[in-house]
Amino acid sequence: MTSVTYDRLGVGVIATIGVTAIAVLVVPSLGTDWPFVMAAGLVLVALRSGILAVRTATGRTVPPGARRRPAAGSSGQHHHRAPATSTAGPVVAPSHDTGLLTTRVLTLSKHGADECENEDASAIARDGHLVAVADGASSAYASGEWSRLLVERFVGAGPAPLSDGHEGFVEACAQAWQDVTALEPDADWWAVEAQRRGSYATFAGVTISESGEWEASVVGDCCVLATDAGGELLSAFPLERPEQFTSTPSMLQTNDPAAGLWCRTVGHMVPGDALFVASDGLAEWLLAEPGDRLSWIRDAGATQIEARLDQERASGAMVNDDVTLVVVRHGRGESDG
Amino acid sequence: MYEQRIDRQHPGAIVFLVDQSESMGDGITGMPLTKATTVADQLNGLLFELVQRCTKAIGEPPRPYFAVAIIGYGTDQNGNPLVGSVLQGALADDWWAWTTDLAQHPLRIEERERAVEGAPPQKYVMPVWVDPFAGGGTPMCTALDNAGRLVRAWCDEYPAAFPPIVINLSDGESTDGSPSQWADRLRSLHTDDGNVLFFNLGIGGDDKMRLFDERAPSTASPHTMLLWEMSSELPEFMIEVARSQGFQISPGARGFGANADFRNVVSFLNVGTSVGHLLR
Repeated sequence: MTSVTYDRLGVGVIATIGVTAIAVLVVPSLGTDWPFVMAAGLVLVALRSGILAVRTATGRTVPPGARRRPAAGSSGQHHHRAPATSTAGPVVAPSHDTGLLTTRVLTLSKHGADECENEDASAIARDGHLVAVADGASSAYASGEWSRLLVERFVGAGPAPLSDGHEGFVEACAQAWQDVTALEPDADWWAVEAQRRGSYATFAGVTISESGEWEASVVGDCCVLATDAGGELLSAFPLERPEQFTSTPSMLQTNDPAAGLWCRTVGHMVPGDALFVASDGLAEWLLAEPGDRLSWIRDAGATQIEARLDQERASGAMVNDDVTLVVVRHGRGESDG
Repeated sequence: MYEQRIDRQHPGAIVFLVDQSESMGDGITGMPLTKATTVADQLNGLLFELVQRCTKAIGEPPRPYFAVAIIGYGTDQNGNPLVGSVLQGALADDWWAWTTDLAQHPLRIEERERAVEGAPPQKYVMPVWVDPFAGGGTPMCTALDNAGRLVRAWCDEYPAAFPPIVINLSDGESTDGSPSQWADRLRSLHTDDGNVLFFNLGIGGDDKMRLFDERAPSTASPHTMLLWEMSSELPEFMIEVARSQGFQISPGARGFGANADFRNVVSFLNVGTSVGHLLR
């Protein structure tokens, strides 16, 4: 791509100088104005060649109100999970705004743990119209892989991910988990037993239509919270209060695709509304003081959020768990307002 | 209290005190096994579960989330206390064995079969760390003193961790004095998350079976009464686990059992070590 850009630039520069020289000769009235003509021509060449387009992709030259394009190489589907190697700080994806919806992702591993030990996963596709969050059970084997497969397959399965039934969806994910965790014949005894026992995760998947109708399918205590433009809680699903969270939520299991207890709810978003899809620890914390915390976490910067959640988890005010949040906001609310 | 999650920075500690006196070679009600064999089997099963709980990532050995000490106590032919780690081989050098090391150094690995409904039996491996042993007296005071020193050092090293759990499995009265004051000292040790939990199970015997009593068994034998007095109250989450296993117990219930048959040994150990949900 770079060579194409510079080839175009070279041809354009030569052509511009040539055209300017001919114009000065043919139109004597240009007189001493010829440098301005040539400068204008060079700017046009630069625009055509993509030099300014590169600057646009950095975000520095985006005019107010303009919408950012998906990152280069994007297939329209975004997975957010702790990277395989340890990194300092949270994994926070930039806001993603492609029209109707704006999405934002936050994921933090447990306070004091490496990022690679994060067993939560989230995924977004179709410009925010498909969103999923899963929380792998801490005491289970390869639960990070299990939660990642669940969210990836939910958002990657087409506009109606569960149209073939819940069990079929989990079964396909479970088969993928078996493939990922397959062992060599001489594997250690603990790995053989752990793989035999399988893995567990809670899950929330949301589909949002072009008209703002949304549907959430949940197993366990990953939660979907809906707010209006002012940040007021409109609904919380499947749990509504902190005291409803327990240590034994229903879970999707690799060894028993029929085991999870699926709950479903529907709603409708209007401009300014937001959906928060959160793993249990954060959902519990948000629901303790929804009036303040939901609008705060919707609007705060990533560093600010990380600092506060670290503090809350270190002090015990929030359970020290992996944290994952996807915020989907009805984007027209901001530009309309 | 009793809420700290277990991780590398805040590992869990479990100490088993295993009576190895002569009478542990007698049979246990409910199974054609000796008491010593029953205890060894259950300990092996518990260690197996602990290691599995710590097996989390593909290609990674079990994580060091727990350290376990298994202290056997008996006497030699002259009645002198014999108190030492039951763990052998590469694990014999230290009182504590981390789950990572337990995974890699069992005494041996046995092949067993489990029944599968509608299919041929499934083969699986069962690591063995503890073999049954019975001989001599019951120097419980020496064993408690030893446990106290271990646990105290642990609390100093991990002051923010879930407090150590000490489980005493015995079938008779102490032969080296009253263990009461040693038990008091043990229970007075603490981390920021609570006092050391000391649970006692009397195995076998002819008297009435008891488990998780919240009131003093005042009509029972002095030995049973002593076991109850020495035992800590169960934290709330252990009460919930006991209830889920069918025990109708109230807050204040103690980690205590007396005249236990095979089934009660299993239940007691399941409840007393039910810290799996604290793993993160």
